[in-house]
Amino acid sequence: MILFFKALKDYLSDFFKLLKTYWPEIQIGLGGVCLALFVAGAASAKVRTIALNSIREEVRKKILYFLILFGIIFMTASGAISKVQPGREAEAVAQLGLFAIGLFGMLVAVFSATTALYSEIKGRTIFLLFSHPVSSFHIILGKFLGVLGVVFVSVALMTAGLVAYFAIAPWPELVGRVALAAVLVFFQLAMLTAMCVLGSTFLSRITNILLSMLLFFVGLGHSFFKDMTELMQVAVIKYYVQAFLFLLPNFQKFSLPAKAFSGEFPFKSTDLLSTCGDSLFRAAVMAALGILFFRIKEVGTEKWE
Amino acid sequence: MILPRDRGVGGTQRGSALKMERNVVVRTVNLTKVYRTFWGRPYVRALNKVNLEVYEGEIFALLGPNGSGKTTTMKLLLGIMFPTDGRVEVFGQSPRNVEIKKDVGFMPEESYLYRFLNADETLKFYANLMGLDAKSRKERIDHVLEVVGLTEARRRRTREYSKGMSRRIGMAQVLLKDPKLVILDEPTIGLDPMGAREMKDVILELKQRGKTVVLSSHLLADVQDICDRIAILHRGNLIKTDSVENLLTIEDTWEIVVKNLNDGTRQKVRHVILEGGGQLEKIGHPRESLESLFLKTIKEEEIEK
Repeated sequence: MILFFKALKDYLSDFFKLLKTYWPEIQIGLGGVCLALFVAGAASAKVRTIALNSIREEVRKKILYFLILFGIIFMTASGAISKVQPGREAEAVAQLGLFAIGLFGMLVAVFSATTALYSEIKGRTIFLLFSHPVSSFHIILGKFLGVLGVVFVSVALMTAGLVAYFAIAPWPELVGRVALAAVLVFFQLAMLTAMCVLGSTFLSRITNILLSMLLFFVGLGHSFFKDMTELMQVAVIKYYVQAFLFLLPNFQKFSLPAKAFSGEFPFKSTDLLSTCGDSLFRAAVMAALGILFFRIKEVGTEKWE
Repeated sequence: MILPRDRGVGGTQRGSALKMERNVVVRTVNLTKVYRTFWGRPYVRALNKVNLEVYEGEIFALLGPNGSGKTTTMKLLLGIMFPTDGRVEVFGQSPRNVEIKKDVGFMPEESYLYRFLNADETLKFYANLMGLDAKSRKERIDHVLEVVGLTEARRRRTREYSKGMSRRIGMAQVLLKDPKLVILDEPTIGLDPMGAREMKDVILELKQRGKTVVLSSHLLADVQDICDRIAILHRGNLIKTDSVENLLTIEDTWEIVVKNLNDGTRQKVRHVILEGGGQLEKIGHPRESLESLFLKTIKEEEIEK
């Protein structure tokens, strides 16, 4: 018996070592599968209809334009701010510009994703939706993809502004890096969007907004909190915090460090793809949980007659 | 008034569903719904062991004061909520089954609409959820907008609609679907007398085309006007259910309606009744209903203009 457990332990140890070795490739594979699942889901006419309706709803809200406009103004202002750092202008503009894309993209993602399902329930349009042949799968996936479309357009518009700035400024060689960094920001926001849609299946809107933002900022400081756990004395708390950090999306991974814009480009394509794969996998898991939670959720219980 | 083309549902004439073989479209068995607080403590028993059967081709009304359980019953029929105990069957299946929703149309008490869409876009949205192709979608949308009298207002945002117009667009999405079972929550509420009459005509026409209609209403005159059978609910309990005819007929009283009766003959009739041992309650002129008088007056006024 002891020998059996020893063999099992060795086997698992080897398995995890192997898993760790090929983890980036596994993440790319999982991301690919999840991307295929999302594309398959989007092929459903019902999902597309709900997604397009969500996009239309967001597009007709004026607040979205204000957020994008503020983002573009902030990026333009970063050109002026960069003058205070002679010799590092390109880096400063890129950092501030990407910060603006991340910040305003985050606001668009959080406010759109927490409203998408909430407005259906509050406005009771969900009753009519449920009287049609649609399931929680169509609704949640449609909402997620719709909001993701809005986030994509917002990030693309702001990125176009920043890229145009770099193209006309004396650093056209950095355009590719800026665009790539913006792509990573989009994948970061895809996870945030999925998290907010998941939250909207069981949380109130305000709680969802606050909790999503809190988790986003904790996720941005992922390595800081990971280092903190090493200092923890109580083993139980340490393991709980480590487990929480493992489950929490590592939003920090999606921020390209400053040296990416000043020195040598430090990323391998495998790292970039595995980061994007991780984002897609986590977004898919959160969307699946959202579908499950929404399936067992009762709507319309606030009023009885 | 011509409704959308029939999808081949067997036509059952008015009243015949009560006499011929009865296909049960909706069945509830010991249906119980208890609303609970956040902590799971029961606080309202909205429905208590309700047993109902609604047959194919009939108009069935749920009557009851506020809080009697009418809307809860409808939400359970739509699968929006789940029973605490007992079961609901729609076409012999669970109302959560997405497939049966193709044959179920629902108009809620207040027409819950996407305020950012116009009538055309609203109907297009629901038509897409039903999987209609572009050609038949356009034809049917044009047709139902004409039926509900909203052709001219089709490009106006629904947030600009009056309550009556919102009800019409709510009915339009039901007609667009051309379902076998139509569930209407307070269909005439918020409509002026002419709108209410038109709505009742649409409901009667649905019945003539073999559709089954389940409706709830506070307006008892409307129910008496169009329904075959009714169920009276009070505090979640089913108090009474039967055909309108059986419930309203006063068995020991007779009514003879005669035109052009002179005084002499009337005296003779009175004499014959008294001689036969009958107890004469009233002889006089029948009264027109206020609804009928109102509609006639408006119609005459319109013809004069």
